[in-house]
Amino acid sequence: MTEARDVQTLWQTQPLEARPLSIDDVRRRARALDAKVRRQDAIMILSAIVNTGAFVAVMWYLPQLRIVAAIIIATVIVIVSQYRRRRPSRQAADYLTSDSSNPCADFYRTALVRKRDMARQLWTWFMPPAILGQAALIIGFVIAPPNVPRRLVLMALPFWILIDVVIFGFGWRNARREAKKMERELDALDSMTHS
Amino acid sequence: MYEETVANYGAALERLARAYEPDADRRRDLLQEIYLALWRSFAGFDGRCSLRTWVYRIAHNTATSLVLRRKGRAPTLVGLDELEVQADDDTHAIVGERQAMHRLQRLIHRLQPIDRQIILLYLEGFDAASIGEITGISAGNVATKVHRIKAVLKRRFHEAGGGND
Repeated sequence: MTEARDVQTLWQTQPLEARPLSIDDVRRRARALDAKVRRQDAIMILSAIVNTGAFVAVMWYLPQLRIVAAIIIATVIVIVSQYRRRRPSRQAADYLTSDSSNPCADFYRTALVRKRDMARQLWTWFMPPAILGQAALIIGFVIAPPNVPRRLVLMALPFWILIDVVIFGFGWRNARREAKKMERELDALDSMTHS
Repeated sequence: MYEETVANYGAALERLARAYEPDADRRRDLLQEIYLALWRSFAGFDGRCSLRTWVYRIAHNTATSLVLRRKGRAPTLVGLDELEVQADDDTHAIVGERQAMHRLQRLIHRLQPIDRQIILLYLEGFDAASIGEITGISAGNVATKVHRIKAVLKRRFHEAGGGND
């Protein structure tokens, strides 16, 4: 090879294998994709119903944990509704309908901003309900431990809290790191489009 | 419009899918996703840009969203500027077109989305103005990137390419 043009020729003349999708195939695939999104929604709703039902049963059979179970049910509802609003399948559908014909840098920018904001807002959309749910569970066990000596619950409490702190701290740190990484990529992208 | 696109750009779209996805099965899925995105997008095609620009934007954006979805699992992607100063990890001489193509694809798979888009459009024979229109990158930056692409290709293919001259 002696010229960059040779590499272009090499690229353009590479042997190909795939058969393009016919219009019928595309329509079939579009229907299958829509069905998949509906199925994911159904699974999400079903799991929320099962979770809620389980804690309703807790409220019924363990009246001393009624308030705690109610808080957990509220937490499940908040998390599920937040997830439904931000779920990837909806974002993918948005890409296909609104942003996808934008210049590639604009599209990439929108996707990076969305990812950065999701990571930044983890604290507001996921952490509070999750922490609240855990706190409710811990308080419930301390106030009215079900068939377990309270002394045992109090002994386990520091470890329980420590594990929660480590898990939430880890999630928060990763989200911040991800947001910063997105921010750096956005700066690099802006320098390419604005100069 | 869909049939026209398949007839005129089908081969280029397959090459594009190869540049984003090395695995054959996943590549087929990506290509189908691109065709689906194009089919859905044509309802909104308003003629403000050429059909060619529209097709390439949709295809690259669909493939880029795949790269973003897989980013956690993918190897770290680098920019052209990094690639320019990095030593070539493949020191074997290129002895045939197949090996050259393999090396070219490996090089493209390592690139960050925007750099990947620019190198692909360059390889498809687009001029700087067309690349700028599709990507939204300023003309000056496209020219710089194309210059870097040529330097990288020269270093990695021409100097090592003894057997294929």
